[in-house]
Amino acid sequence: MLKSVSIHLVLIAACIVAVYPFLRVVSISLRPGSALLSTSLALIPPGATLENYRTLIFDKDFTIWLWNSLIVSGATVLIGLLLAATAAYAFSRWKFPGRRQGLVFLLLTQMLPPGMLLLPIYIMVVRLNLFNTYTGMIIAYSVGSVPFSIWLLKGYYDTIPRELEEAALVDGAGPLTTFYRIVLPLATPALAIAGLFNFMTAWNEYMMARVMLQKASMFTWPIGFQKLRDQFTTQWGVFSAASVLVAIPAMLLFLYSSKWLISGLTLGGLKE
Amino acid sequence: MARVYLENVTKKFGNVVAVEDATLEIADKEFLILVGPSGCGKSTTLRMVAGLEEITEGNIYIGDTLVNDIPPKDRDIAMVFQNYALYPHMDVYNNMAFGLKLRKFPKAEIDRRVHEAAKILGIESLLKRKPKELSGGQRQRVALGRAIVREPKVFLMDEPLSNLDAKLRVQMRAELAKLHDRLKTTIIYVTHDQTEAMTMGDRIVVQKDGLIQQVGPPMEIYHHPDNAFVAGFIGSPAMNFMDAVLRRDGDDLWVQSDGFKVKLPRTRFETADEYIDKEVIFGIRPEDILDLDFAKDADPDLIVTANVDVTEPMGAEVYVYLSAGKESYIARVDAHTRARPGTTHKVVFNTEKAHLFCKDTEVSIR
Ligand SMILES: Nc1ncnc2c1ncn2[C@@H]1O[C@H](COP(=O)(O)OP(=O)(O)OP(=O)(O)O)[C@@H](O)[C@H]1O
Ligand SMILES: [Mg+2]
Repeated sequence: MLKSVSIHLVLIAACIVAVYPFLRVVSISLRPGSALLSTSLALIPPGATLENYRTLIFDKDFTIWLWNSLIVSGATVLIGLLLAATAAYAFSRWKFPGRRQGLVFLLLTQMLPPGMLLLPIYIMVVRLNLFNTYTGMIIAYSVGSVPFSIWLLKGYYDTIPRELEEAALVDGAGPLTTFYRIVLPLATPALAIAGLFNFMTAWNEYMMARVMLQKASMFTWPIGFQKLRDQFTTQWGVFSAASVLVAIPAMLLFLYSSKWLISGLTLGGLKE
Repeated sequence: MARVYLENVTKKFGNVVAVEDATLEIADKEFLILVGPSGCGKSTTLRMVAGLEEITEGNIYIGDTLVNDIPPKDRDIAMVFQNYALYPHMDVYNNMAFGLKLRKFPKAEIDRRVHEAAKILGIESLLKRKPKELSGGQRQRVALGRAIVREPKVFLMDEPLSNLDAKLRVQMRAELAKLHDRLKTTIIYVTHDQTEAMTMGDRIVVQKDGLIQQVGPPMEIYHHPDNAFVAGFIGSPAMNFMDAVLRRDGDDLWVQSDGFKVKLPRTRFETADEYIDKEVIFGIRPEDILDLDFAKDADPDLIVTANVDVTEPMGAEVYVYLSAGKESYIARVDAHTRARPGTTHKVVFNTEKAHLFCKDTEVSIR
């Protein structure tokens, strides 16, 4: 009883710490322009209005930025999962020349600080005529996400007992069928984590986008936000409204993927 | 036609030779039992027939087809894995239906076969459960069911009843025998269980350290083991082995050990002459050591007096642990025996059924 109470107290405290800043942002986004710099702590400010949201959506390019971000992040996730899920399977299951070296190389790419890659990637992108394009952004992001996902997924595949695949082979499945009927379904938690992580990385990425995107119609939201600030004076109300809105896709994604993050999926297949 | 033929098959894992030069012909519709101690290569043999393990040397034929390079899915075999290998993300029904679905069987047919197998195995009420919601024995039956529904050319079963309780095991043994009669499929069956080995198969293969020791019908293996290993491995409690010296006395053949000397039937050991006055291994099964009280007119030359160390009542019979001199052995006698621990007791060695093995090679002397 006491234990349950203390656990709840801690959890409630943690919730407040986590949620309070967000609520403040929500509250600021609801303020009418006149009360922007008010020091009031009321969550619903006096004269609450959705004016900031209206400005953001109809007077700014906000929807374009959001759309661009969605396309780039979504494609990064899809490409990353597609390449990584298959590559990781090969790394996990087959012995081939260069396997070890390949894995180490992938790890090395993850050790370079992203800043170091800015210039080379910029030059490549310009040479390949991918400046200001989705393709360029997606490739640049995938360079980071694929190796990470391969490692993550390989580690997970390694825990899936081979006998399950062998049973499928004997049951009449070819290697490909075995992969998508047995291995992939069992790997959903790892796929979900890799997808989620890659999405969040691409979604919030700023530095690369700053270098690669010059055309306003191609801006992702982090770049767009910067423009929001740079124009005359910063409109904190609009800015807050934008922050609230970009948080929504991420939250939805977390909620949705939590259903895939089940542990113990491979339990029960083998003796003991 | 699904005879299975292994021709000089060898499997090496690096330096470990798991199966060595195995040649074995399994006739169409035969029920073949593979036995041997842990690590002797039984599973490896099955896995090579299944196509899950590459063959280092030799050939395997299923029917008349050389299958060395044919993938498992095209071999038309079904396998019960030693550790079940159920698909954890599918319920019992789909675990069993998976193979049939892949082979594009009509839904009604799949349904019929799954339900039929589930009924035989007593798991009808579990069809909607996931493997992790099942007990070990239930999982094993699902694994068996998954193979049964396939009705393949060849069944490969790796200790399929090992995790069942005694009663269920007896029941499943009968079901498998029935199934074999009905489906007329070739079955290769790995087991540790003496009773399964003796009762289920047409022939038994005894393996040791990757080498086939003997192949033959159960009774032949039991009564005429080729070597001491086979003799000791088949039968429970195991055959008694005693160091002894072979003696000749006139026309008679005797075996002399530390604690006894008994006469051997000459006709049974025709090639024994070269071992006269040499050390041999004398083997006799517990049931061939009789309680003198129940063998009144026994030949006096076969009677041995021994100390009773322990008695183990098994119900219908008693295992009596005897010792004489350096040798100790087990007799399996009637429950009414008067042998009591700490006393001496007279027993009769039925040497008509005894065995002699060469001390060096452990090969049978006949
Ligand atoms: N993948 C492998 N790599 C290396 N050695 C292996 C491998 N699989 C089996 N072995 C070895 O091959 C030998 C035979 O193994 P196998 O599994 O066939 O034995 P088994 O007769 O089935 O034993 P058990 O009764 O314990 O199941 C063993 O010595 C084992 O250690
Ligand atoms: Mg085995």
